[in-house]
Amino acid sequence: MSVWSSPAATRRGTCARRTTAGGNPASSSACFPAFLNPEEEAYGLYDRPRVTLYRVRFRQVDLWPEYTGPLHDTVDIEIYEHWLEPAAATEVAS
Amino acid sequence: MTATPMPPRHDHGAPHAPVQQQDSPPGYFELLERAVRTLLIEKGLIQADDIRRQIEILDSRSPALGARVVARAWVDPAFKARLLADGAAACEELGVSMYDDTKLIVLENTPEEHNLVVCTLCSCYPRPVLGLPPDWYKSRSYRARGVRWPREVLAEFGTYLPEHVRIRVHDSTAAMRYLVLPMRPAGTEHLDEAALASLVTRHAMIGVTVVRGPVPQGAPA
Repeated sequence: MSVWSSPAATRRGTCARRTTAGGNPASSSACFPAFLNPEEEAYGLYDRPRVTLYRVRFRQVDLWPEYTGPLHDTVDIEIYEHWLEPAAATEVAS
Repeated sequence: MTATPMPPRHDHGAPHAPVQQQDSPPGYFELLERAVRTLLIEKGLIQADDIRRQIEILDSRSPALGARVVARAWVDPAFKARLLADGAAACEELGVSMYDDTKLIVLENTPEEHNLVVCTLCSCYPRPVLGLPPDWYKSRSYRARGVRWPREVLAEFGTYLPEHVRIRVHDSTAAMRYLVLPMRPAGTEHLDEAALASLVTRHAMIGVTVVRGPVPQGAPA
């Protein structure tokens, strides 16, 4: 699985690494400038430390067994860092 | 206001629906909004003027702004590079401010790759550049199916993409917003920026369709 990053992320200094989410196969992600943690923002805590948001890419066929499109179709989702678990310590790409 | 037994004479020859004489009773969310708004104002946290001003900002945004951004990117490669690097900053160059503290990510369609934006949670949408989202974008049907059966959903919009084109669905659910930069259609080399902008539709900037070239004169629309 290739490491992916967006131009915006690259410009700001990308960190990308392999991840898993929800037990699905590894995909890759890019990190962005941090945002408020929604779990805290929901309670009006606006001065808490910001957390990093990742865009994590999955192959559609890995998410939906019945997916009928080609293998290269993907879906990108947004996940805050503290919702992620590294797939393995060796998989931090750069 | 004076009670009038008969409606005033209103003869201009054009029939229309009867003028509503009375507001319908407010629904649950309307009452909730009124209650919250009244409390916020009473507690001095915001003023009625702040609400009006925010509504004016929202009303001033429409897909025409996004279309201007797209057309500029088509004619100005340096601008396009800046747009792809930092969507918000490039839009601000054109006077389109991001008023809501979101990040704008511009997704470039290419002959090999087509981008589609969906918010599976609710209605996250690049409002600063496109205005309010259309109802179908907020529908359960689009939110659930756009992410899972994108090719079928695209076909419902009349968009058929060959298998060699990668479809990249972007689920917009946090503080980032996505604008699709469609491909410039063939046969538009002679068009200026304003004419190009007039071809760019809201649908194309969400990614449910592509931008088509101008309809030849005399051809059915």
